[in-house]
Amino acid sequence: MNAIPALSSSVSLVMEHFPRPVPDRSEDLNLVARIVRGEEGAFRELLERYGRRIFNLARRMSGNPATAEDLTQEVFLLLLRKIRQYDGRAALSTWIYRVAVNRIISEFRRQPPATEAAEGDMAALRIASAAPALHRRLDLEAAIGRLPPGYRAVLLMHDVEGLRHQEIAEILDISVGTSKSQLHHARMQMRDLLQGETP
Amino acid sequence: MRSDDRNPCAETEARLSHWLDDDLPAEEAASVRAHLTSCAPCANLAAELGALRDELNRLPAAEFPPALAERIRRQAESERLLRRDRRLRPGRPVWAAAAALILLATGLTWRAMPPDAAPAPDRAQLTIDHPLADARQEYRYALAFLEAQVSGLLPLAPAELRQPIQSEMAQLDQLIEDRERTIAGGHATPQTWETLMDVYQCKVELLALFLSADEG
Repeated sequence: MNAIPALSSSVSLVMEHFPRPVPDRSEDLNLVARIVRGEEGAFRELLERYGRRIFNLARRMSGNPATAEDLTQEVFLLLLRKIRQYDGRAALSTWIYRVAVNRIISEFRRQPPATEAAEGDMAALRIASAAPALHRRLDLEAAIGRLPPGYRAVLLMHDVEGLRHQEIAEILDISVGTSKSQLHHARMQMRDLLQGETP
Repeated sequence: MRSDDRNPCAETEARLSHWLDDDLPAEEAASVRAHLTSCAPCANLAAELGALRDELNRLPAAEFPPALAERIRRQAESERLLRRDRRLRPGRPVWAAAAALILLATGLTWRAMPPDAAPAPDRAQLTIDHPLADARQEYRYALAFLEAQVSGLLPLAPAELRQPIQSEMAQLDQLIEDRERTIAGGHATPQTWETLMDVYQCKVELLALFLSADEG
C-alpha cells in the first residue's frame, strides 16, 4: 500500500465514511464486481459455485426435477437483477441462499408442492429398484417433501447442506433459537412420517 | 416416567436435537445424558433422531443439469442481465492490451470533463438523500476492494505500465477529491455529481481492467 499513497488515502476515506467491520469478503466482492462488469466467465463461476446447491434445494423443496429447474433458473435471474445490491455485509453464499430460499419458499406458500405426484414418482422408482438403500433414500425424500415449507427449508439447510444455525437465521431472517426449534420439530415430524404417522 | 410435577421426558425430548448436535451447555447436556441412561423410550428416540440426522447428512446431491446452465445464460442474455464475455483473449500481449484499454477507458473520458466551476450552491445536493448518493457508496466499496487488490499487484507490473497507471490514478483521485470537496462545501451542482460518478466509473474500469489483464 505504501507504493500508492493516493490509494491508501482513498481506502481511508471509505473507512472513515463507512466505519463498519469489513470481514474478508474479497473473493465474494471480486466475483460480484466481475458479474456487474458483465463478464460471462464470472457468471459461469457463480453457477459452478452455487448452481448445484440451489438446484438441490429447489429439487428437495419441490420434489420435482422439472419444477426445480424452473425455480433454479428464476433464482439465478433474480440474483442477476439484484446483484448490485450485494454489499459484502454478509457472505455471498448467505446472501444468495437468502434470495434463493425466499424465492423458493414463496412459491410453495402460494401453491403447495404436488406431493401426490411426487409420491407417485417415488412409488414407481421403488418398484423399479430392489435396493433397500434406495428405498430408504426415496422414503426420506418423500418425507422431506411433506414437511411444512419452513421446517423443510431449515432441515435441508442444516442436516443436508450442513449450514450452521447462525447462517440459517440470517438467510431466513429468524432468530438462532427459532432455527434450532424448527429443526427439532422438523426432525420429529420426519420421524413420524417415516413411521407412517401423520404429524 | 414421571415422578413429580416436572416431565423429564418432555424436557429431554425438547432438547434432544440440541444435544445430538452438541449444542447444549455442559450442565444441560449432562442432564439429558443422565435421563437417557435411565429412560429407554427417550434413549430410543435419541437413537432414531441421531440416525435420521446421519442419513440426511449422507443424502446424495443431484448433479446440476448441464443444459440448465445454458438455458439460464440464454435467458439472462435475452433479458439483458448478462453481457457477452469482454475478457481479454488469451495469447495476446496482456500488458500492452491492458495499457491500450486503460488509455481508451479513462483518457478519452475524463480529459474531456469540464473543470468543476463551483457555481451557486445547491443545498439539495448536500444531503445523503441525493439520488446518486447510493451509487457513490457502491463505487466507494468497489474501489476499496479493487484498490486493495491492485496495490498488491501494481509493484510487480512493468515500469512502462505501472507509471502511466499511477499517473492516471493520481489524476483521477484529484478529480474525485475536487468534486467531493465541492459537495462537502455545499457548492455542488447536478453536474458535479454526474461528473463525480463518471470519474468513479473511470477509476473502477481502470483498476478492473488492470486486474483482468493480470488474470489473463
